[in-house]
Amino acid sequence: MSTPSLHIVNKSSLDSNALSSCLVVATPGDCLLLIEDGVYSVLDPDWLPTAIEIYVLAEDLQARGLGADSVDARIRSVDYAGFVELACRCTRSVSWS
Amino acid sequence: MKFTIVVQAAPAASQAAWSAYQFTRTALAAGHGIYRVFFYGDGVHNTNSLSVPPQDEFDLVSAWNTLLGEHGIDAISCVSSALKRGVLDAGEADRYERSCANLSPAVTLSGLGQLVDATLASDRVITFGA
Amino acid sequence: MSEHTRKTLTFITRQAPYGQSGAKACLDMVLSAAVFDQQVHYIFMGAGVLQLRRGQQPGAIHAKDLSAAFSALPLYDVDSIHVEAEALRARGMSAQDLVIPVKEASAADIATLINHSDAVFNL
Repeated sequence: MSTPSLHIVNKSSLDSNALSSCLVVATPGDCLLLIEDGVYSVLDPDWLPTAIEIYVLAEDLQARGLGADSVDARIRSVDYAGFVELACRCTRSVSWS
Repeated sequence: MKFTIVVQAAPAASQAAWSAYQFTRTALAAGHGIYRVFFYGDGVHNTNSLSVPPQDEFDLVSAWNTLLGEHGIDAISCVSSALKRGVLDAGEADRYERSCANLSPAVTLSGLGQLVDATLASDRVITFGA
Repeated sequence: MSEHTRKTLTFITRQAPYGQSGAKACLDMVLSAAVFDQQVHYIFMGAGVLQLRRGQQPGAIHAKDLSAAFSALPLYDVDSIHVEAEALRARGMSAQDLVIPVKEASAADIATLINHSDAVFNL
C-alpha cells in the first residue's frame, strides 16, 4: 500500500541544505511543497527531481514577487486549501528547515 | 481529518508561526478537526500575551488566542520551553515569584507528553518552524 | 491519557549541538515518546551527527553535556539509533568517533524508516 510523504521545505535551495537533504531521502511518489523562503527554489534550475510531485505555495510566491513565469512547468502552484488537501492525501508530513 | 499542529518558531523571528496559523485556519474552514495545537521551543512566544506588536503589523499572538478560543481548540505551550522563555501562567508566576503571568488565556502549560498523546490521537501531525 | 494503538514515531535531528537549540529539543521529544512506549527511531542526519562526537567538553561554555545523555537511551528502550553514513564521511568521522554504538544508515535506509513511520519530526 502506498503511503506517500508530504515534504514541506521552507528554505531556499540557494541558501540552505534543507531541500537537498530532503531530496536525498524522498521516495518516488512523495510530494514536495515549497513554502515561505522555500519558494525561492523556483529560481534555481538545477534540482528538479522527476519521480516526486512538486508544489509551491501561491501566497508565498506572490509575496516575494515571483510570477507564474518564474515557475517551471513541472511545479504546481497551490493555495492554503491545496496545502491542507496535500496534507490529507499524503500519509505523513516531514518538515525541512 | 484530525490534525495536530506543532509550532516551533516565534512570531516575530520568522514566517513559520504565520504559516502554522494560516494552515490551522484553512483546515478548520475546510471542515477538518484540530485535535491540539502544541507550541514548543521558541513557539511558546506565540502565547505571550504581553507582546505589543506595532500598530501597522499583524498581531499574531492575539490572532492565535482568538482562533483557539473561538473554536475551543486544545492549545498547549510546553511548560519547560515556556518557563525558560518567560511565558508563565498564574501558578508558575506565583511559584517562581515573578511579577506577572502572561500566558494567553486560550492556552495552558503542559509537558511534552501532551505532544506525544496528540501524535497518537491525530490522523496528521504538521510541524512548522523547526 | 487516552488509550491508543502503538505508533511508530521517527525523530530526525540535523543540527550540530550547542550553537543552536535543536539538538536538545529533539532529544527531549525522543525521551517523551519512549516513555509513552512508542516505537521510536532516532536518526542523526547532516550536522546532527556531530551531537554524537566523542570528547565534548561543554563546561567550557557553561552548557550541559548533550552527548552524555545519549548513553541513557537504552534505559528508555530507544535502540533504533541511526547515523547518516554520508554525513559522517563528509566530516572525516567514523563510528569510532561517536559516544554510543549506532547503526550507520544510507539514504535508502532513512527513506525506509520514514516510509514506515506514522509521524516524523525533523528538528
